[in-house]
Amino acid sequence: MSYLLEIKNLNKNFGATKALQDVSLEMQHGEIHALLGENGAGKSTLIKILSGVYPQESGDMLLCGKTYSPKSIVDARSLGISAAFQELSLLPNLTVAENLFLPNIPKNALGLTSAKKVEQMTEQILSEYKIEGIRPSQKVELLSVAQKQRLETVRAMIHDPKLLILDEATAALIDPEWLFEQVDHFTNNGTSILFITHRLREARRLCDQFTILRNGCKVITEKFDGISDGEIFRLMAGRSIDVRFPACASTVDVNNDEVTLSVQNLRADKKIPKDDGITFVLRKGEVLGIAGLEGQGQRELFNMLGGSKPIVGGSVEIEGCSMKIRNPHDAMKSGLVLIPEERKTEAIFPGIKTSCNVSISVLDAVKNWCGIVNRNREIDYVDFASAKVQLDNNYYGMPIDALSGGNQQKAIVGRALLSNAKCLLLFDPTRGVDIGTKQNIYQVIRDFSNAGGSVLFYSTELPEIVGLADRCAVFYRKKVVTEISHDCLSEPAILEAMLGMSPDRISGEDNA
Amino acid sequence: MRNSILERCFNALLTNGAFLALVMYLIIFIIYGISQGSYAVSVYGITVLFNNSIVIAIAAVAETFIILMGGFDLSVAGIVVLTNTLIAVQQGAGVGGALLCLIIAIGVGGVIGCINGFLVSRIGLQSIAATLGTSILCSGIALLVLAQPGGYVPDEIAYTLTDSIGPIPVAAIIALLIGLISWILLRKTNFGAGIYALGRDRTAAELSGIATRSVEFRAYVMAGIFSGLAGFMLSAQTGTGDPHLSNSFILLTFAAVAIGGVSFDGGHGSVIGSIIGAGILALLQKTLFSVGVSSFYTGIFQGSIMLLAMLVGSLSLIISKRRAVS
Repeated sequence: MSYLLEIKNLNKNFGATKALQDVSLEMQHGEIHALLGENGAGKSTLIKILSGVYPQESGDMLLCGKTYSPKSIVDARSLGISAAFQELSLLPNLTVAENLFLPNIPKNALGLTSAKKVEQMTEQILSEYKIEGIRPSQKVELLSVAQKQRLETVRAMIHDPKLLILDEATAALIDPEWLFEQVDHFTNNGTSILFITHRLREARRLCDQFTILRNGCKVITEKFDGISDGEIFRLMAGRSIDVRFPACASTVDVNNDEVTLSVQNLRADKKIPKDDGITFVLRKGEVLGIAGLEGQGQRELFNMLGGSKPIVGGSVEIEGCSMKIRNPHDAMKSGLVLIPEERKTEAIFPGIKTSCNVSISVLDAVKNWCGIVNRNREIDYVDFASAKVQLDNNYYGMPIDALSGGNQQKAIVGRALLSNAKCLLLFDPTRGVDIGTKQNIYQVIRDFSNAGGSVLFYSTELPEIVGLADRCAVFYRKKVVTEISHDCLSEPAILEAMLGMSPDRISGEDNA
Repeated sequence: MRNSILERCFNALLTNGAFLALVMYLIIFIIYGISQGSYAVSVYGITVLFNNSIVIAIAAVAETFIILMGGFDLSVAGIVVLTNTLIAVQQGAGVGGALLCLIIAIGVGGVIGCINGFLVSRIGLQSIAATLGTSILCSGIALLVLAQPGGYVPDEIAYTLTDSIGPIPVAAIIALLIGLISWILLRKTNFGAGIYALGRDRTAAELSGIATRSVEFRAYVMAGIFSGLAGFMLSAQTGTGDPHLSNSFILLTFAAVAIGGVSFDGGHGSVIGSIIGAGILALLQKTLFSVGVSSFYTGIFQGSIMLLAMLVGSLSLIISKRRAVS
């Protein structure tokens, strides 16, 4: 029996970290194979070795029976493997056409690249792959995230690979059907696809078999038929994760009058009328879920409260005192701590030790009278936070960007916990983190609220809101249109409100 | 698109650094013309203007290659002065001597460029530090070559290259050639696309399959060669060798690049802008002199123009971002 791709005992280390240990994998011709695993399990490393970004350390790879060890991405492409990367490898300052053909933009008779020719070719390719609304001469920075993702995917496809690697290729697509169509088209021609995703539903829809990686080791290769989602999650996490959400706040009376945060007609835009802003209250010990479709004003709310977006109008009161929030420093002084959306660019200090990334919020508390930081006291604080978020202290000395996304997020949450916050502002804190870390974050949120803190919690995943929140405020057209009490909290109820259907439950404003 | 020409010009002013620089140049030239009368547009007057800008212009082209890539090259000054002293001490004369000088210029620039490229792209040194090192090294060698100002530059260089062919200054032809060659390199080759890509996002460039180290190395070599050519033209201008180059030379080079609208973050700008930027610096000096402003004020005006160009540039960023949002 001949395989398209055979990987035998592949190993890769980064310093002391074993990114891949003895990973073996076989793929048939025309097979769509799902690669599953938590963040940091080694999926990215594996595909980067396959696509020629990293060299392998030891082990054998066979492509169509021949030894395969690509020296570069271009080499890998010519041998028959190309990849669409999760982190989007497009260059925003170049045109769509240039990006599509990098690093070898076709040349004219004079040996020079010709924009006209390349753009014509691009036009053709885009229509062939049924992509609309993108002009070849457009700079990529003007595209939406979804358009970029399609372009990235097409860029991998046009090399007619024997093996196509799609790393989270649907993450930004609102309509993944486009991708499924392309994938079907490809596999009909005998191409194999390695499909990396966090969304099990999509993996089941597309793939026959899956392989799970955990901590750099292969756990299992199995057919999707006859194995439950729960079992797959258990294999990915390496432990039972049946209890997905910590018990809800029965201990705290959510109808108490102790209001932590009161927001009145908060507006991010001059065009919004004075009495039509964002209004809600958040009580002591309460987790208020925020839901809404993309771009309905929830991002602005978090950024305004966190001090990173100017407040145009309206008032913010914390424990009854009116607060002026002009910058993140003001917000923190008031007790509002934001865990931002973009971990990489807004939260971590790359290249700096993880412990320092955690302790940055308490440096004032651990310095002595002449301003010198007491490292022992600093580590005490870091230990305290790490225990809460279950961050392994082996990571303390590593630069934070060397950690997996999930562990980075733990460090960021730990930092927020140290900052004496009265109210945590969590903007999609579980996005792109593995299921084990999610579990941790849920627990941290619940512990924080049980201890009397308040939490504003936005998530794109409705089950999280239903499972975690005491109450839910739904955004539509830049304001809170509906508040759903704990008893009525359900996915359909939230969804209905998110879509702007006339709210008949509680305190909705007329919006039809 | 129903935009009127005026509107389009206004847009270009805000978004295209080179166009903004061109407009500034024309405005200053009008002031210069009013104060100088017919001399300003005479063949001689224009030749002098081009001769005064050509050295910084070529140096700015060299610098643009590196700045577009997100790096800094301080060795431009060192290469210019080393080339100048070597040309001054070479013994050849006539056309052969002139050719030898050209080979010296390209050779010196190429070798130093290779060293820079090796240090930055292979060893991984930071560009600003590594090129500062090679620049000081070059200046030191220049002192060994020629301890004090002097030496001889072949007439074929010193006279022909500063003259004009009919109504067209030779320096203008050289500026055009250099501009064309560097524009082709940057805009019409994969190497050029690689430079822009590298300047914007190194990781994405790597994942796009660009051989980033090779692109970086070649960019330093090109920058070195253009720096050598700048030294060659300096020799033509001065007709002699001088181991001491003005300290402000490298800073003026950066100023020319900045006025031309090239982003020091990398990945944005054009070589044409840098050349016009160099032209503005020289023209400004002459204009101030001709309207009777003391040369003590030159720096104040040059600095203000540079800040103005950068302010408009940053304004254009804000505006285009707003448009993208709305």
